[in-house]
This record gives sequence, structure tokens and C-alpha cells, in this order.
Amino acid sequence: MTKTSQATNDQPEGRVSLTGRSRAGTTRRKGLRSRGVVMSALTAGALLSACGSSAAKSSSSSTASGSATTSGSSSAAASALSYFKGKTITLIAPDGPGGDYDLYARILAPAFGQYLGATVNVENVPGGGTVVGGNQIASAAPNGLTLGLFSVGGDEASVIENHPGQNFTLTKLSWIGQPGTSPSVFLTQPNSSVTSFAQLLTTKTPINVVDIRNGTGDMLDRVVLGAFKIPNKLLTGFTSVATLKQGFLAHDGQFLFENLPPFKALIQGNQAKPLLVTSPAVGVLSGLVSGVPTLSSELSKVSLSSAQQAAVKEAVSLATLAFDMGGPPGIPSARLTVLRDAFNSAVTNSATLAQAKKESEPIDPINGATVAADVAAAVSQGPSIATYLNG
Amino acid sequence: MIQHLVHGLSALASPTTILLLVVGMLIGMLVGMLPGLGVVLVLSLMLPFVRHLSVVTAIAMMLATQAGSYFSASITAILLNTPGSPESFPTTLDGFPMAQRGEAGRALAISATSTLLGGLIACVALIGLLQVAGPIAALFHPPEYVTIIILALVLIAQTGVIPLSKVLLSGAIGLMLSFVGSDPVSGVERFTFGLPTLFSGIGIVPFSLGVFAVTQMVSMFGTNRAVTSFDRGALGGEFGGQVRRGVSDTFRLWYHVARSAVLAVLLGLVPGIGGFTANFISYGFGQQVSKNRKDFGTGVPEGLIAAEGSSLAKEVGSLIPAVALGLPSGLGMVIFLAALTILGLEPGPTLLTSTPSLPYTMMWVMAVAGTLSCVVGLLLAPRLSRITAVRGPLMFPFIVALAVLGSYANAVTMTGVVEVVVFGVLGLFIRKLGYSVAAMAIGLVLGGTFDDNLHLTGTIYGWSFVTRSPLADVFIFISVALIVATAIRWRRNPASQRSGRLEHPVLEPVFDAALLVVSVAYVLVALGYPPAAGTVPAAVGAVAVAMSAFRLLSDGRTWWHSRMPIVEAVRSLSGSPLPGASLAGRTGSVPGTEFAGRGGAVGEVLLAEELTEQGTTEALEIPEDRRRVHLREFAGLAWTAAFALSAYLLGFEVGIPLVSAGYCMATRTFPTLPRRAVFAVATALVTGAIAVEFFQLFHFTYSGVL
Repeated sequence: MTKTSQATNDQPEGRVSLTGRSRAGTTRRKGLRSRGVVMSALTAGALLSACGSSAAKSSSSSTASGSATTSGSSSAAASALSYFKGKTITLIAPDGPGGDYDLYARILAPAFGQYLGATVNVENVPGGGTVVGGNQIASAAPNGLTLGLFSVGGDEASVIENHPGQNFTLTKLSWIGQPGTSPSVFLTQPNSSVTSFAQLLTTKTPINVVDIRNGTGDMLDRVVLGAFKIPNKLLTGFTSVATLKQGFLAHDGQFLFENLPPFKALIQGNQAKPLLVTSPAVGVLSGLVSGVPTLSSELSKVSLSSAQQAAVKEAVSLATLAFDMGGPPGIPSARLTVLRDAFNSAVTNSATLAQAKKESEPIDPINGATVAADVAAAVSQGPSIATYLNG
Repeated sequence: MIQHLVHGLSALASPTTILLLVVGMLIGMLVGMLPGLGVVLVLSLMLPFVRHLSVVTAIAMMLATQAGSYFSASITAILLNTPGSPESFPTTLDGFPMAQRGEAGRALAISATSTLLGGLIACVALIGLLQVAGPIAALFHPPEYVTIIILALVLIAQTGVIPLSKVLLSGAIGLMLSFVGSDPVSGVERFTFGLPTLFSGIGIVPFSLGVFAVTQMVSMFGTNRAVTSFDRGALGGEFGGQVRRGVSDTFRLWYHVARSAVLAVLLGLVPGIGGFTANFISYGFGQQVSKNRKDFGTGVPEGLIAAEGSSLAKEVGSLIPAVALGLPSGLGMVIFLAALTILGLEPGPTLLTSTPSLPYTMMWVMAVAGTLSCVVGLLLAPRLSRITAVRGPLMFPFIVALAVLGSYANAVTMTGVVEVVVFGVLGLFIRKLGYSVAAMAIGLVLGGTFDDNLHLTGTIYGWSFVTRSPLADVFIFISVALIVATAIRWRRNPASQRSGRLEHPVLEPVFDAALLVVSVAYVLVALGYPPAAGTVPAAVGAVAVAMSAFRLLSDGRTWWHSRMPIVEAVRSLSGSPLPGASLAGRTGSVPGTEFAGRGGAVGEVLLAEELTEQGTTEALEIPEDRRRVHLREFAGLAWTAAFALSAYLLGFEVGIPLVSAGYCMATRTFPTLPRRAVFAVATALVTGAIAVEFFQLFHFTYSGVL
């Protein structure tokens, strides 16, 4: 995959994946997502055992992608590319308009379609966290004309929880790439007497937390609040970011844990107060949460057991596995290669980058092969978060 | 504020902006008129272009498209009993009967003028409400959403002579249909039976196209008549005068417009559902407070104004939660918010502080585009009205072709096409048997919101919502009071209910029994799902079981009691010659038309009832006439299925013109063969061109399985 400096403008520091996700021309990063000893061992073991040589493949992903582009001149690739010309691709955003998935899908769609010579229609399919949209993508015909974005972390948490509804196996999906991700933020009402996350560690009264059922926010709520032993009443059942915002503004709950960009306006308008971020925000988002402690800094202040720490770190790592573009299982490999090339082209397209900056969505791409490896690793590792998800 | 108001208007003063505002308005009017196409689809198509426009120009184009569509959605509602969008359903209730009376021009003028006046009143209200947007939206919690949906259903039950049990059963059926697909909370698939095509649920577009467009066409095909039976030539000359009369009516009844507009603005503030329920509630409320409440549904200007006064006003109101809080009230506003985001604007409180004049620009766009669409509408009304004099069989291929294409365009799957045929059949039954299409539509559209918020009410509030949600208590109080008042009114005046005779003595109990069986099966299946996904559907299904059982007992008893006199009458008249009274030309007068919007079908049914009251001899001839009509209706349904099947087999661009031509030749649309052939060729060319344009415009690629 070809990565340009433009594409990595907004890369968060410390973006390290479960697999030691290699970025084109970049090295592993430090920070919160550079795993602790336990997680690193788990990750490396999982990667090596589950994916065989995929780590090696992913570390050379840039080369692989480059060669994929080069091999576009081959007849198979040319044939696959010509297949998409004039076709209509449905790109499913498993959230309502205004959510992160919707924003990423609409940012990518024009350049993605341009590369393929196809029309890309973004379709919002909210519900069940991102499960409803995921089911729809996974059940589509494997012709490459129905694609979408997945919340791998949320979906995997749903599997660990044995939550009914999810009808696909993450490792069987056809992975195309991840455009980027952003930190999650723990918010409270602006007039709340709680002024810091640390203050919650001593509270005895359960706090009311609202969120969307399933998804990364729900997982973070359960794991982080559970590991830090913050008494809480989790009120899930909201079906999209829009309804969650409405519930929060109507004071149906006092706290929520969700991805940062959709809540930018509430923070700027002093309608929500950030207490914690899962990792440092970069670019235009950094000003929103300047001075807000990160989860790693809070972890260092309290004494948690190794299991609790591992659970928190695993949850945060899973939360970075979001916005992964994929398709149903069984997309022919030549077409999948072309789709990955189209993705690589889209995430380095100057118009895409400008639009992403305008909409405060970080572009920090990972190619399809690496995403596939990351997913395999995430699925195969020990679910230290299970205690909190099932508790 | 004045400064922002002026700045908001001056921002529009650019040739490009004005041009795109007018273009958007005209596109909105065009798509609003075409059943199934819908403004949401067109707004979605505009999204890719938005990023190349300035903020004000993009806003002008998108909002003008929406504003233009509101009046035009009422055009087909009035002329063909087929609302351009589901929200326009209440317009059919008085608009279509007026068209049947030959007053289409007057009805269109009332619709255009009241839409504009309501919108302008809403713009004035918006200026004040912008200052208090946040606190108002914060009043709505899950219990308020649940109870306002119940209130909407109860208001519908008030507005006609349909028994409460039928309205509740209709609403329950709508809700039950809405639960098909993935549970929005857990993601569990419900009632899909493993069919991926049902994962995304049942769409409101195929439902509307089937229940309204197809049913109306099939009904008119059955009777072989036009909407109005009045003389075509005379009407053509009158339409101009009717338009002036309609404008005059609206200004004379200005307070009805004002009431609807204010109510709609307030409902527009409710994020998520206000936009859809506003027209229904405005109509219901308008009837409750009107002196002519009994005449609502028979084609009175007050009824039309009550429905249309809120049409644009609700969208103006919905700008507030959308812009100030980023919370859309309807699908159009959802796409508009997406456009704002693409433009780099973040809908929310910061938008009001960073660009304070922008909401006023939006308001001006609504006002200007609303005015332009009103003027265009009034100019076109006399010509458009002529369509009411065209016989149903001549319109059939065009409208059904549009319905089939629109249902495909909605989700780009053949599932929608199948659904439109299924709902065409269902629509014919529910109209004939007097069920409430309005309640069913509300149930289907708002079922998801009802489910989510009932779940949230249970999770967050439990029964404590009674003490914690005063606004919900108010909605419940009004709902209960209206039900009690209705019960008292019906008890005092039994004549206001339907007569003790069954219009379809065999079909009604059979249909009740079928609903009972389906409802019981539905409950059993729902109980098999995890509690979070199955409880609400099971509860709604239980209501349907109770209501359908009640209907079965009631209709069964009525049929049993009425059976003997009819048999005796038949015996006494056996051997008597049957005079050939005709039903033709009698549908113009439809006193007591039910709220269910039964349209052409109700004309026949009510007429049958009137004739029955005239004497047994004439009553005996009705089954003959009905049978002929029913046979033609079945033929109409078969042709609809043929359109769908040919599209599936041969693709839309080939199948639709082919079946159109076949229809024209086979159904004797014209008496002579040469004229029929010319009509067949012309129809094939037009429907083929529509299909080709549709596919090119939306980049569809389906070419049929053959």
C-alpha cells in the first residue's frame, strides 16, 4: 500500500495494533496502544499461531500493496477492474447519519468509486450497535458490490458476550482496509458535580451511564467501569449516535463512553464535559480534550490487578479495531485486490484527506491484509474482558 | 436578531444560489409528484455534488428541494388518492373526495396556499423558537415518544367512523410489520425466517406504493372510471375559477391554517418523529376543534387545510432540533444534516454561535422556495386537475410502471417490487373491509421508534415514568379522554357507527379469522426470541389477537343475525326480473367517507349501502355489479403482478414497455383496434423511456434473470 505523508497527517501517536499493525513506511508506535507485557505476549502468540506468516505479510504490506497495484496490469486484475466499471456499489454505514461510520463512508465513497469507475452509494443501516449493518453486509452476494464498515472490536465483544444477533464470523469476511480511527471519550453532563474521572473512583452511588447496545462504547462502559470498580447503572438501548445524543441532552443519563468526533459539537457547545479519553487525540480533535486524562494515565494512578489492567488494555485495543471496510466472505481474490487498491487510492486522495480534515475524522490507513491479520489475532486472543462483559 | 435576519436573506443574493434554489424547488416539485421516487432519494443523489458548492448555495439547493416537494406531494394525493409521500396521507382524506366531486382545482389551490401560509407562519415562529431550542428538545424523553405515538393513533381513531377496534387492529398490524427485520437494539433478526431480503425490514415506500398507488389504480381499473364522473369538457373550463375559489377559501379560513402551522412547528421540534406525525396530528386535532367535525373526510376545505397547513410548517419547525442540536426529525432532514457535515459544518449549538445568521438563511430558503412552489402550483393546478377526468385503465400502465420502478429504486432490490405487489393485494382488502390505512402507515413508520423507546422507557424509567414524565402524562390523559369521549358519543348516537350490516358478509369474518391466526402465530414466534427482542412484538401481537378475536365475534354475530332476512328476501324475489340500475356516475357524492381513505373503493361500497337502503330489489343486483368489478380488480392485480414479473425476468427497460403494450392491447382501453395499437405503442415508448431514464439517472444495472 502506498502511504503518503498526507495520509498520515493525523496519525495518533501511539497507534499500535494488536498485531503490531504496520503502517506503510512507518514503524510501530509507542504509547497506550503499545501493549503491556501480557498483551504483547498474547498478541504476538496469537498472531503467530493463528495467522502463520501473516505478520510477516503485514509487515511488508506496503510492498505487497505496491505490487498489487503493479499487478493491476495483469489480465486478472484488469478483468476485475473492468468488472466494476459502470456498476453501483452499496457501501453500508452501520450507523445513522452523523455517526463516525457514516462520516468515514461518505468521505471515502467518491475517490473509492472514482478508482473503480463505479458509483458508490452510502446506505445507513443502524441498529444493534453495528450488528444490523454487519449482518446485511455479510449476507450480501460476494460480488464486491455490497461492502461496508465494521466495528470489529464491538462485534468481537458481542461474540465474547454470547450476545444473540450477530450472524457472521469476523475472520471469514473479506477485508479491504481501515481508513483510521479516533479515541473514545467518557463524557458527563456539563452541570455535573463530577469534575474528574478520579472523583468517580471514590463514589458509592451508582452512576447512570447511557449508551448504544453492543458496539465499542458499550464494551468500554462495561470493562472500564467494571475494572475500576465504579458502581454504575448501564442504560443501553439507544440505537444510533443521534438518539444517544438526544437521550444525553435530555438527561436520560449522566455519562456516556463513545467515539469522540460525533460529540465534538456538544463539547464545543459546553453541552458535555469530557472526563477521560482512551488515547491522546490529534489534529483538530486535540483541542477538544486538551488536559483531559488518558486511560493509561489513570491506570498508572490506581492499583489494579493484572487481570483488571489486561482487561482495560484489551478493551482499548479492541476499540481501535473500528471502521474496518470489508465485504461478505468469498469475494474473488482478484476483485478483492482491486477493491483494496481502490481503498488505498481513496485514503491517499487529496480530496479525501481534505474532506476528512474538514469533518475531523483522522485518516490513518491500514491495508486490507493487515486488517485481516489484526482481526484474526483479536479473535484468537484470550478474552480477559469476558468477566466484565458477562458480569 | 434583526441583523442576522437581514444577513441571512442577503446571503442568498447570488445568481448561482438563486439559480440552484429555483432548480432545487422544481426538482422537489417533480419528485414530490411521482409516487415512490421521493425527495429523500433525490437529496441523497445531491450529496456528492454538495462538496463542490458553497455552504449557502448547497443549503439553498437542498432545502428548496424539500420545500418544493411538500405541496407537490399533495398533488397525487388529491388527484389520485396516492400521496407522493407517506406524510401526505391526511391530504387524501378531504382532497380526494373534493376531486371526486369535480373540485380538483379548488383542492389543489387550497393545498398550495395553505402549505405556503403555514410555512410562512412557521418561519415567524421559528425566529422566536430558535432562542429556546435546547430546553424544548430536552423535554422529550422515551416515555414522551411512546405516548405521543399512542396519541397519534388515538387521534386517528377519532377522525372517522371506523370502529376503534379496527383502528387499533390496523395500528397493531402496522407495528407488527415494522418489527420484521433486525431488532434495532440487539440486532436479533425477527420474523425474517432466514430470508436475507427481509433483514432490512419492510420499507414504507413499497408499502405506500402498494397500498395507495397500486390499490387506487386497481380500484379504478375495476370500475373502469375516472376519479370524477363529471363532464370532462365542462370541468376543464371550470378549473381556473376553482383555483381562485380555493385561494379565497384558504384566506377565509386562515385561522385553521394558523392552528395547524403552530401545532406543526411544535411537533417539528420533536426529534425523530415530529416530522412524520405532524400532518396526522394536525388533521386529527383540526377535526376535534372544528364545528364541522362530522364533515371531515367528505371533502371539506377545513379538513384539507388542517392537513396541508402543517405540511411545510413542520419542516420549518424541524430545522430547530436539526440545526441547533444535530437531531433530525425526518428522513429529509437526515440527509440535510449529512450535507452540512460534508460542508464542514457541525450541526449543534456551536453552529448557532459560530454562524448565527445561517439558520435565518435556511428559514428564508424555506419561505422563498415555498412561495415559488405555491405560485407554480397555482399556475399548474388547472392543467393538473384534468387528470381526474382520465379513465383509470388509461392511467394504469403509467402509474403501475412508476410504482414498480419506485419500489426497486428505494432499496435497489427486487424485494421491493415483490412487496409492492403484496401490499397492493393487502391494500385492496384493507380498503374494502374498512380498516384504517392511516393507522397502519403510522404503525409501520413509527414502529421502530415505538419499540426503541418502549424498551428505553422500561430500562431507564420503569413505571416511575408516570411520576417522572409529566408531558407523557399529559399525552396519556388526552388519549384516554379522547377514547372516553368517543365511547360516550358512540353510545349516545349509535347511528354514527357503521350500520349493523356487513358490506362483505363472508369476506369480513374470514379476514378477521385470518388475522387472528396470523396474530397468534406472530405472538408464538415473538415469544421464541430473547426477551429484549421479543417482548414488545409479543405485546403488540397480543393486542392484535384480542382485537381480531373481538372483530371475529362481532362480525360473526352480525353476519349470523343478518343472514336470515337476506335469505328470505332472495327467496321472496326468486323469479323476479332484475332491473338494471347502474352504479355509474354515483361516486361523485361520498357522504360519510371513512377516514381510512378508502377512495374509489369506498365510493362503491357506500353506494352499495345507499342502494341497499333503497330496497331489496336493487340490493339484489349489487352483487352482480360487484362481482364484475371484483373480477376486473383481480385482473388489475394480475396485470400489476405481470409488470413486476416481467421486470424480474426481462429487466425493467424491456419488461415494463413490453407489458405496457400488452396491457393496452389486451384490456380494450380503446374500442377500436387501430386506436388501441397507437395507444399501446405510445404507452410502451413512454414507460420504456421512463425506465431507461430511471436506470441511467440512478446507475442501476439490473437486466433481468433472462
